Amino acid sequence: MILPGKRFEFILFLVLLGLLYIAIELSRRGIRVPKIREFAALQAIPEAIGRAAELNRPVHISTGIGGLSDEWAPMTIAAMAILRSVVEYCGKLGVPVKYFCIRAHMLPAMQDLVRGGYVRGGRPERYSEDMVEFVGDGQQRALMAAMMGYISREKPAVNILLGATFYETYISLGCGAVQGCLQIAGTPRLYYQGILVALADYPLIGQELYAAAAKVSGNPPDLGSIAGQDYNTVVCLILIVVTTILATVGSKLWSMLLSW
Amino acid sequence: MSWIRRREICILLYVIPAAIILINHFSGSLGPVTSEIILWASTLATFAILLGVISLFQHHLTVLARQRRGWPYSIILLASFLTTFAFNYIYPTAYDFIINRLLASLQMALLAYVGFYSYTLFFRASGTKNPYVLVLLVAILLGLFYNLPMRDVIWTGWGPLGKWVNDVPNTGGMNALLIGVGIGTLALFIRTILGYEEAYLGG
Repeated sequence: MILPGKRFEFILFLVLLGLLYIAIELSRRGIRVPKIREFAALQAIPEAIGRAAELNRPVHISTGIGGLSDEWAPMTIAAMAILRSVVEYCGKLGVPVKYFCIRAHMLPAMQDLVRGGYVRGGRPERYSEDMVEFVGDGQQRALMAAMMGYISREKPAVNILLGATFYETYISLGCGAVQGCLQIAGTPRLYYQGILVALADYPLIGQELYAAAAKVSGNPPDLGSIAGQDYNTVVCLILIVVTTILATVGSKLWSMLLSW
Repeated sequence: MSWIRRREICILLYVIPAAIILINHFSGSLGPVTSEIILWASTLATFAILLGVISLFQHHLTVLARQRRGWPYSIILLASFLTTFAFNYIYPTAYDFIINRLLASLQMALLAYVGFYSYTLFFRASGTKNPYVLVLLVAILLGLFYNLPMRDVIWTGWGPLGKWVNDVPNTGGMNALLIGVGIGTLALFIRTILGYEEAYLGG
């Protein structure tokens, strides 16, 4: 049984989930495959990696301090989906990658992701265990120090910061800007949208990170999920308009629904 | 048993706990199981730290053995790690000193960089050729004047204007972004439970 006060939330959850599922299925079966606009950040990846290869400099990638076992997991998963293709490009061109791991449980997954990228890129021999370096579990300051030291010393050509990022956004992008790195950054975290726009050459604002993660794979189900997000946004907009009217006319219907 | 493939098991290991936690959120009927799952997650995370420490030692011992650039820093790191670890068990007073006096001070020094980069953000932003930056710069200026102690001396309108910008467009924009993020999270969740999203499994 659904708890009192959560029934409307549950119905809304099912409606939103159902719309997403329908959009994914329609796309998967080829009935309605949506066309998704291009993301400048994704288009810039091959060019950026090519630049790194020409300059013979490494690429620094980061998923921030978010992990896979906390509330930030969806952001980290979306970031990993994009970084997967970044590493594949690096593998194709033989460009070294550096990733500082701040979550111990992510270490094997990230090592596998980077190794897999070099294998798919056709240069597995260029992969080195050093590319993924553990700096302390949940130690944000250690991550910040490691990032700042690496970017200042090695001067990577490209600095990519995606996922659930916190204070390290300032350090990574600030330091990257000083060193002249080409910067691609994206986080759905609210407080860091301004710094992304100001310091990243190619920012992914808000939910663009999720859409870009779906876009990067190019699979019809993933593209369908973006169309599903649009359907959900329409539902939310209708709800906002209806509730605004209800509140304006002094109706108690909305508060009744929330406490149902 | 060929149907049991590694990826499918991994996806199930994601889906089953997620479903249990979700059911408990709405029904409240799986409280003990949810607590157990969260406890398991913490236990597994503790084992993962061991993996991380092994990786850390492997990396820095390799740096030392091959005398790579910056190898003296590896000595400092390993010595600091072993000293702190040992003091925690042998001499807790020294351990407290390291954490409260040395580490805390170093961390504060590092955090000062956040302040530096955030204060210089305005100047960096002004040099960026991006139309959105103009909005950011105007917002920064409004925020600065709104929080200025002498704002009313300059112009009495800064207070109401800043408050309106903060309460109306800022809160509206933040909420819109939050709704978008929530929907994006839901989309990623359904892609993951249907097995279309596999990036979190690595390679």
